[in-house]
Amino acid sequence: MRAQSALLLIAAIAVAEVWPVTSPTAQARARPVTVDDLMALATINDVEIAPAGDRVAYTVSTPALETNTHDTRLFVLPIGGGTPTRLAADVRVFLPALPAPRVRWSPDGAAISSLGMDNGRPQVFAVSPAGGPAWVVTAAPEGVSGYEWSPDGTKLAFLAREPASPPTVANRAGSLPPATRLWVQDADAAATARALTSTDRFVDSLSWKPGGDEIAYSSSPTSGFMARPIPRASTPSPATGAPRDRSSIARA
Amino acid sequence: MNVQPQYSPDGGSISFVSTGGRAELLALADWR
Repeated sequence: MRAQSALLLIAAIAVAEVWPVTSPTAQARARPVTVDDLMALATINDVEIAPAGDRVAYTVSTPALETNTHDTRLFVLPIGGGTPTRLAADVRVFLPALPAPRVRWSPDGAAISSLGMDNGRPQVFAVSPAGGPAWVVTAAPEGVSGYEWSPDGTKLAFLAREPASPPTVANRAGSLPPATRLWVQDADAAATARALTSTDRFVDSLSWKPGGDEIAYSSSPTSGFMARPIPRASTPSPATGAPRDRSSIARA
Repeated sequence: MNVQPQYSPDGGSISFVSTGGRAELLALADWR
């Protein structure tokens, strides 16, 4: 319920920024929605409530036609409402193609983290909820695709692709990209990361056990999508229950 | 794959999204 209230609050703020309350005069100038109107829409991508439940961190993204990117901004807001504070304004927040939450609070609530571009690669960065300069925590050569704080806040586990050697043949059919491995490092920005999985597996998600002594992760020997033909008369499987192979048009 | 494993608060179970057996869900104990 608390999460729903936070979402409604943030959604109301975002809508108010984009569509202010209209006066009768403005209603008289009603016109069809244009592409420019759609491009001005702000989208909330991430919402994370602080461990103490008193604040909520979130990101807002708007398309930037000039650069063909999304301009994503990080904010923090008291859970009861108020004025949002923008954080890490000098960081280009990384917005994955697949919507997935990347904003996290450190377990003690002293830092908000997300993925931001550093030297052209997405890395974990952190910033105090009170504001101030952000700092880059990870230094993965190929960038970070996902991460989680350890329950005691002293470590970060993250997913990063193995550095690729220069290809001798471009787009060789059937070749696999470098593996995505599970790494762990101290939360200290100067720490060195240690790989926990092998170079022949693709890890795509992880979770810390509450005690911090175990990490669950999913992995596969392949990566990417593989198209499959489907019968013309086939019908989709229900979202739950035993999967039926013929409904699978891709695997990841 | 988007398996998205998630431990329960007491650590006694893990929820995940099934991919129909295309991915493995593993637990790495004693990772230190």
